[in-house]
Amino acid sequence: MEPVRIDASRLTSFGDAGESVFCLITSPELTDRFAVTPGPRYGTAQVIPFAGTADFAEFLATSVPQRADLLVVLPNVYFRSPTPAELGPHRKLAVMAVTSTPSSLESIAHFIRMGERTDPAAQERLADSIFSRGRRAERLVFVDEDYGTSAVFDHLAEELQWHEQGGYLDWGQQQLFPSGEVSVLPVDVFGQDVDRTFALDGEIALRGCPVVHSGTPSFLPADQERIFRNLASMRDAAVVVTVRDGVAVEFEATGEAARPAARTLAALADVDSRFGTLLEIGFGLNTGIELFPGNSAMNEVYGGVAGTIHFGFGLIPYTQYHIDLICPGTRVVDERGEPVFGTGAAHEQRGASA
Amino acid sequence: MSDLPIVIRPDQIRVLGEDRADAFCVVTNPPYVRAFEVAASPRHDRSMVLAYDGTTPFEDFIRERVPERSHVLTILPDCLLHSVPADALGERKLLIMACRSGQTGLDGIAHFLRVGQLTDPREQQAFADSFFARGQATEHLVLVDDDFGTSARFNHLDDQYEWHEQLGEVEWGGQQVYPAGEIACFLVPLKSTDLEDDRRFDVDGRLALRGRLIVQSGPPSFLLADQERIYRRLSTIAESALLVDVSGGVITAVQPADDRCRPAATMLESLFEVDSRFSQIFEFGFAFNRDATPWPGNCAMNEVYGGAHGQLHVGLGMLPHTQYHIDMFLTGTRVHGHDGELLFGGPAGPMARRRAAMCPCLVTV
Repeated sequence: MEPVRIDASRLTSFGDAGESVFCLITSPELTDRFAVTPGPRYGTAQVIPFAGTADFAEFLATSVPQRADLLVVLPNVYFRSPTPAELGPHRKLAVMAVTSTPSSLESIAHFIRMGERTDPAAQERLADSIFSRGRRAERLVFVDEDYGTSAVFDHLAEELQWHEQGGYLDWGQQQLFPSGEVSVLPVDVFGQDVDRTFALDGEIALRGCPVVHSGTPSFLPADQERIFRNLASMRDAAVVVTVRDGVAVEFEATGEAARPAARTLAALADVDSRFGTLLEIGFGLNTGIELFPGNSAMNEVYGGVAGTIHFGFGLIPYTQYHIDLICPGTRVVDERGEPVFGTGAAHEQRGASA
Repeated sequence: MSDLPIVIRPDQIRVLGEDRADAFCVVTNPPYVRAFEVAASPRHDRSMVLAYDGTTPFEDFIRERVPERSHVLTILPDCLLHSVPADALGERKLLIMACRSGQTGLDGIAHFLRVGQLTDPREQQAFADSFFARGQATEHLVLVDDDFGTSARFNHLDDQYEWHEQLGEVEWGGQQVYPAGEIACFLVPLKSTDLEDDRRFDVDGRLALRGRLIVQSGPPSFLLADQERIYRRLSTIAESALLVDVSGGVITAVQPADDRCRPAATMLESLFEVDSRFSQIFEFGFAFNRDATPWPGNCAMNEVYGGAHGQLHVGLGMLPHTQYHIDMFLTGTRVHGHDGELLFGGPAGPMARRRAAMCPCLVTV
């Protein structure tokens, strides 16, 4: 395969480059698989190997320029995000999510291109729209007209935790690459127990593209792939999940095609009830990307044409997996039916999984 | 249960042998320190109940708090205890009650303390010696359940299998689960870091899973409510049987013998769906504590329960890799040699003979 070309100046999520050096940090065996050029916004671009044998914070302190925009691509290395102090005030960090799912060089090349197409200004507008419309709404309603499903969500509950991964990076900040997500969780992201659930009731049509992220607990890659393949059957027909107080009480396949997905979702919840609790609602903001075939964590930010919803089950790092189900057919409206997010146009799904 | 402390009688714990020790130490979690009382023992100069809260490595605790040349009984319902390295154990004898992985309360602990007193290590040693002698002389094992018409062939002589004994008297520097009474054949080393190789038990055929089971938790995160629910669903094998087809050491099909254990079949299939390692047999356990009576519920100490003739169980999943290790008994399965000789197990039949110590009126502390 040809080296993956990275024109640093086209990665506009980094925002103002200032006096920064652009640095690609990758595994030693991959350094010659990338061709990095600084482009007009950077004076210099470097490829810095990181084997993972040292602590990343120590590596930052000893091997990385103080003023730098960092793109981290470490498919074979356990990577722990540095603290703000470790990152320092004059660096920006973007991380490709390449460890929780299998990541080929082809997929990395694909998402580098998607990163070039990412429009951080558009993401900020979309995120602002979610929060401004959301604050005006009393309830959010997840609707899939094709399947006649709707679920009502009390999104204003104070204990909810809202997170943003999008827009322009500022100095001392870090985000996923490609970026583009607003997510809400009912519990602390590092909490082990699911002691709170969403105030969410109704039916949700799960139809689209899954992502099966692995976590810290031991798992077999073959199982991860099999679970992904089963869940991918929701591409052709929806699994309608009945939700009571944020907990899935029934998974029903709407057609023979989706039966493997319904069976697997039910089995996951059967073995670990944390898979039966809706633990994340994600608003995919990246309207520039195309989905990559197969189980790819970087698909999570997929925003379709005007934003795409995904639903997350499982609580990494405690559960064996975290499962995102990207549902382009779902749109979000308020209690009066006014649009808040997404178009609900499943047929507009872009990319190989469409 | 009564608020009175549970009295432990060190001189009646026969697995410790007959030699004297400087001290007898019960190690338990802080909430239970007052729940136990150690009776005077002519073989121990002193006794103590020590609190261990699990915040420091247990081997450090042993080195620093437990006197040398002592007998140690751990009862730690709130801690997951691993075996202690030999250099840390030093000249001590360590008995471990498995009361964490299956969530056993004080009443269950009191029950198994009584079982431990009844357990005769010499009888167990003699049984094990005979079992190994006959096992080594046979080319393969045949696992048969006549009631359900199942049969499987286990080529047990593979050098890679690890045979562990939890039985007999404990030597100085030794450790053992308490009560003891099991020979276990493991597919991989107990602390193996890799379950991804192609190693499988050489066993093929059909097995009848019926009777008791234990859902043992380990280091991976889990919810107690899930462990209990999985246990309850699988427990329906007590009423009937799950007939499982085994090919190359892996369960390839699950069929409930009747509707009563359909919940167990569904649960097992869910486990296989989520983690295929649950469909793999990692352990053949030969439990032969004839003095044990089973304790209700999900209790790890039931693993040594052998009834009158010994009971076989299979272990699905492997800690610390899988979320649980599930011991499923094959009550009614007999183990024969290649020539048909009965090596292990068998139905009790009418007028089954039991030792006098099994009389309920003698089962007192």
